[in-house]
Amino acid sequence: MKNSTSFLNKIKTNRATARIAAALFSLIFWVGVWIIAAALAGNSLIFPSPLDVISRLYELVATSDFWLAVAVTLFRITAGLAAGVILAIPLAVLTHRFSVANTLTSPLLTIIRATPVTSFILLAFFWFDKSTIPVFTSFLMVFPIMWAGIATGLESVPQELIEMTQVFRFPLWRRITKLYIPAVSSDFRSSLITSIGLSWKAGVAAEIIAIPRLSIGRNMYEAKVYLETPDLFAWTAVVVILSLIFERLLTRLLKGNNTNRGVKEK
Amino acid sequence: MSKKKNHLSENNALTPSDIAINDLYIGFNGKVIYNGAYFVFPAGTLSALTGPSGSGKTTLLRAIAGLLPYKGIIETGRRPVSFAFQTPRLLPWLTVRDNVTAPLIDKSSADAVKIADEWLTRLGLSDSLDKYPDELSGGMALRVSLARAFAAATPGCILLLDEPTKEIDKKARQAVTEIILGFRGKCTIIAATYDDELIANADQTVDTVLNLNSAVKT
Repeated sequence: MKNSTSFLNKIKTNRATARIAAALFSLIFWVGVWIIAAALAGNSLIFPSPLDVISRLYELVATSDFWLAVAVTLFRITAGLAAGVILAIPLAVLTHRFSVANTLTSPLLTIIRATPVTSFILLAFFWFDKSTIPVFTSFLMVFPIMWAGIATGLESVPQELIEMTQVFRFPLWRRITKLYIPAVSSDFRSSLITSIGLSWKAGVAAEIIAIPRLSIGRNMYEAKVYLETPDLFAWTAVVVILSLIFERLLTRLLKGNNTNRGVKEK
Repeated sequence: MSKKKNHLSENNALTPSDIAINDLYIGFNGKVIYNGAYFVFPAGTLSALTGPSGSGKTTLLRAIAGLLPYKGIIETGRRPVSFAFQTPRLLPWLTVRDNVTAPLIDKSSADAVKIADEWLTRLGLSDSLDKYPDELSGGMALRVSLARAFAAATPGCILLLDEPTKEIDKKARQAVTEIILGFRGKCTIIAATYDDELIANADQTVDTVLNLNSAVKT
């Protein structure tokens, strides 16, 4: 028994090492491609090298303006994301429960999904101040995805399990916590992961267009205007890193205890 | 079509705690399963529903549990129902123990765990308390489902068992049969079954064997 456990642990360790090695290889490969591309361009204004970007990032990180811009953008994106998630939950429940609500809201959500994000950003200029536009844009990206994800999750709750909770007279709260939340959590999580990436993309795009005072988007816009390509790359790297950290943190937070077990009925 | 009564109702007067089914009509997908059927299941008895597949055993249990739309009257006195379904219907994200404690809503969590552990031990699952349904064999999962039904079966309740010994090995089958018999007098038990053991010596084990052929369904 002990031997088989240590053997399994060994396999797990080997797999983890293999995964890290693969990730490192991939990273080295693409940095190599970047170095070659930068060398071919021969001008950091057109295509800066990784070294140019890292040294610029190093300079930026040392300034308080950098952290202020990061904090305010982070706040805006989080606010848009949170609003999208919070409003999507009751709407998904409503549309799952009442077909009339579904009929009414479906066209609206289809329109939101099909409309180019820039159209909303431009429209938002008429409705909101500059600093609220990124929040609104992030919200609009997140809301339909989360709504659809939660609604799909609710649809997939097995009828057999719903019947079981009815027969045993589970009170509403117990039904929600023991059946619906665990059943929906997988769809919720995958929708949230998709939403995080999109909310960053759309939110920063809105900042670039709206140019609010403190923002990553403003810095990117200025980098473009003043032809500071290494800055543009550095800020883009910041957005990518923040988005990844944000995604990992939320995924870990939502992992919970064993709700990731499938809804396939046993 | 003529209406016939099952033999239980012919000799006994109804008591308020009997399950009385009158003029039952159930049909779906263009097929009539029950057409004006009449049944009485006296309180505290064990009735076995037999009959070939598709004869309406599960349909009747589901109707009594309130899971099927029907026409007619099913009088259960609003008693709590405990149901061991034909498939285990376990919550996949809960452990075996938590699946059994989940319906015990009127118990403190310590009491619920105690009750769950007792039933799971009686059904030979004491080693699997912290396992998840996807770690169990089909037979084990069915036994968990039975443990849940037994744990939730409070005195006076209706205990519905849909093929309770299907896919269970002979040793466990004997234990399950004994447990079911132990509920006689406490709950009104209706079991859909093919199991010879449960109905072999009907006079000693079950109170009624109800063969769901067309005679009792119309």
